[in-house]
Amino acid sequence: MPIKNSFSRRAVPYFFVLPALFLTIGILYPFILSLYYSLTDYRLGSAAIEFIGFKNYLVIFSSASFWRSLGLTAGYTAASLVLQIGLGLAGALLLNNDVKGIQVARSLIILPLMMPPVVAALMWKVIMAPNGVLNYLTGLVQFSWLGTNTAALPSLLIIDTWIYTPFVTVILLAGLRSLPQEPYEAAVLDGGSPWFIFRTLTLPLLKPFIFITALFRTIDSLKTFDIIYATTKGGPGSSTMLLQVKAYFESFRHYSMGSALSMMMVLWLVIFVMSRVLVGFWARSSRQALGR
Amino acid sequence: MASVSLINVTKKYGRIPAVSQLNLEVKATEFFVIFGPAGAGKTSTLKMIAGLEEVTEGEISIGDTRVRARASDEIDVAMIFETYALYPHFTVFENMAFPLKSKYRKLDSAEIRSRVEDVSRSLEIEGFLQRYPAELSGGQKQRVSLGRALVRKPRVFLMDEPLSHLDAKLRHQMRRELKKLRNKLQTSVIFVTHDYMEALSLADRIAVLDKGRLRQVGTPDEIYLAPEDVFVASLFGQPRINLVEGLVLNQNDRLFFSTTDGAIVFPIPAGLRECLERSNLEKITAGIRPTSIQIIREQSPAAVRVWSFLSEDTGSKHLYYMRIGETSLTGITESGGIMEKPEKLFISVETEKVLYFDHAGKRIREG
Amino acid sequence: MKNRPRQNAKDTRKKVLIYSGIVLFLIFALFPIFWIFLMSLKTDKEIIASIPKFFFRPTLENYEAILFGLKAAGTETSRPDFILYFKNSLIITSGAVIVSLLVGVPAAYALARFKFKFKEDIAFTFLSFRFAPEIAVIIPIFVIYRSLGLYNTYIGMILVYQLITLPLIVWIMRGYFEDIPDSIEQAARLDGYSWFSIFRKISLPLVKPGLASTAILSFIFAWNNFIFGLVLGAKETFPVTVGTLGFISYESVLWGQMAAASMVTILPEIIIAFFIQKYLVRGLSLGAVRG
Repeated sequence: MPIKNSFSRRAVPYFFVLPALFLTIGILYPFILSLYYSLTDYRLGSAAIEFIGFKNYLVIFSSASFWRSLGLTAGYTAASLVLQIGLGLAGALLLNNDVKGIQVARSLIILPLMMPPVVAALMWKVIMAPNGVLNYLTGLVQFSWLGTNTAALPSLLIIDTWIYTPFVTVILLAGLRSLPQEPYEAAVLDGGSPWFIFRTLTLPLLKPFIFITALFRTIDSLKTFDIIYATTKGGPGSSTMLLQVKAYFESFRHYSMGSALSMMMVLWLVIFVMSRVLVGFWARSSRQALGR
Repeated sequence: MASVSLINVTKKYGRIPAVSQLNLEVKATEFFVIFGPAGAGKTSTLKMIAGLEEVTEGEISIGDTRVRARASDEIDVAMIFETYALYPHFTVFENMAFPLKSKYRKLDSAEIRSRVEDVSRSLEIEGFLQRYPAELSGGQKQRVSLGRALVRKPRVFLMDEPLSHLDAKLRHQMRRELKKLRNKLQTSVIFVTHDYMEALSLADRIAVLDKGRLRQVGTPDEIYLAPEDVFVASLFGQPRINLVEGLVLNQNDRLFFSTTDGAIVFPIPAGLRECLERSNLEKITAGIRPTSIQIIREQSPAAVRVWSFLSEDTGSKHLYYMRIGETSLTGITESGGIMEKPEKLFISVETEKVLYFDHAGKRIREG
Repeated sequence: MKNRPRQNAKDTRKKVLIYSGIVLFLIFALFPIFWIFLMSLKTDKEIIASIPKFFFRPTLENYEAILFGLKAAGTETSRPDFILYFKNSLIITSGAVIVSLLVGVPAAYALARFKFKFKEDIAFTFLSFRFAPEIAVIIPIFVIYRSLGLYNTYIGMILVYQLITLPLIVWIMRGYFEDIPDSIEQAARLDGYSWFSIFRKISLPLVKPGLASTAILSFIFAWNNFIFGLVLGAKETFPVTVGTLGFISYESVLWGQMAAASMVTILPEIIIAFFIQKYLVRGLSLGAVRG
């Protein structure tokens, strides 16, 4: 019988992970590089790179447009979170009823998810055009939804909500359907009103799912780029200049990579912190739901 | 067939010891049962013998070869899991053929087919060979699991509570079949269970484990009739052995056991006298098995009056919960039910079968 | 029973509410897609008409333009590149998913089964890809790619797309592998099989459904990506998502063709979704359940 030596035994897990590990290291290098660049005055195309420490950060922290951008990003994320989770929850509750034809509805609802956000944004750009069908349906005349300063961001929110609410709905629906049925039967027997049952039974048990969805949506929302690039490119004015869009233009139009990357490091930090917070909420609600 | 030996084996999960300083010797062709309540470390021990878990300290050998952790594929040991662990995507035939196709065995397909068919015939599952595990009942899955182990003709059989998920009737039946099997097999079997009836009926020897420590090793008779301590005595027997605290009395140069309120008195066998006198014990515990208590309707010198009485009829057996003075006793008989009032009832104890334990719980023995 | 009629009325009212809610939802979700579909069948003149037309004679000229490069009547140019972009998406997305499967599934298995040093650190690293803003990663990769000659290449794109597909596949497949009871693989070990054989013959077959749905999910996410293609590619490697933007230029907007392009772009995804939507939902929600 062949006896494998103990080295090859211990090495087995590493063989499995090795290729993925190489890729990971391959990715880590750019990560570290971007951190490095953010501390330099690197400009695309120039050969000379000078290490300037935190100068980039100081510049952006004293720049009003940076703070405006950050504020817009935060506000956009918060608003989309409220909208999408609210509507998504409503949708999930509606779809949780086993009425006739519900399966069809459940399959149709994921359609917006199937589209690339860019394509969806283009579609809405057409619909929201001055001579588009949205104006026709709402009775407005030649109103440029995406071209008007005060309306641009809300319009983007509408698009964002349209694209991502199905995602929330799908996850919350799965959550609803995974809940045990017996407590409900007991509650009905005890004579609880639907609203009461929802508040005390459904909501606490659903919280883990809500927080998970909030986590995914928050991360992606803070990084919003596709939709904006396809429609307003940050305008009009800079009313929709969210942070990652700003960084894109900073690096590929103005060529200041160092500056752009410092903005991205800040964004990364924000995302990281928000994720920790949300994961904490998720973990706690998970424990509470399981009765620990 | 091979012997299995565990020397000073300890298993810790983090800092928690699941098994401490375990020493066992299983002889080749012996049916050896590892018995204990939940958490005793039985399954951990079995997994270490199979090389599925690492030994924290000590060593395990099968025959002459040491068992190395994670080398489970080399050691030629067959294991039957509590949950059967059948391959869900293989048919029954493929499940049983699988071990024969591994690189250690390399049998040709004709040989594989004949072995699988032979074993399935002896286990009466030849009709299921093309079915998938999901289509089988618990008992059938158990047989397939057994079959998968049998086709291999391994050196050692390990069985991890194989009967615990079967219903009572099936369990009885499988116990009988295992007994038949074990007489045919000439291989060492290490069988883990928390069911004392399985242990007593199947084992050549039993090792009693508690919280990772070995309490006693012996034949079923030794374990049942001569338990080391109160713990082992309590584990075997349903209903549990009655443990009665009392005193040693010397009357007319004979030793008697008496409860503190004096309601129950009976003589202590002479053989134990020496030991009792040597250790100068006054307070001891008497272990009276419910089967050693007889309920009689007439007064006799050995009889003790019953104060209160509750009976539980379970078909063929009758359980009696009695109160005598301040002592509660449980008795069991297979004869007819008792309808009389307690005042008319007496118990008589088979005093030779009573076990005595000291204040530390250890049994008092002759000599 | 006196309560019956009132109870029925309440039930019916509830049902009506539910149905109307669902219909409203569906209208909101589907109308835009429906509208663009209509648009793809109109001529550009009909599209920019001031009053949107719901009834018209459908024409396939837009599709012909983007697929076959036929000049549509009344338009100056057509975009034959669209087929190229579609092909690019197909190559890049499939390639990325395949690479991720080859690399990620064994890694997921190792993370599920083995105990080894740095295990959770490695797992966390995979996850952290999701946190990073794309631009933060793209800029250094852009610089590196230009110097290595990977800019505007399929290989370069497939490698970058790993940022999207690999974490997903590793994370979800890890869960599926963890679902396999330990005892089954232990039984296989005792039966005399090495870990590689067990992986191939036991574990992999048992996770096949999960594998399919995860592969499809990552295909969809990769197909939908825009920014990597925008920055790290050029005309030769632009995926179809970047391609659809090309219908808008400073001179003119080719509305009809853009609409047709949008439809063609989402076609593979709709087909896939149609056939495996049950598995898709399970995949998404299992990912959520595992956190």
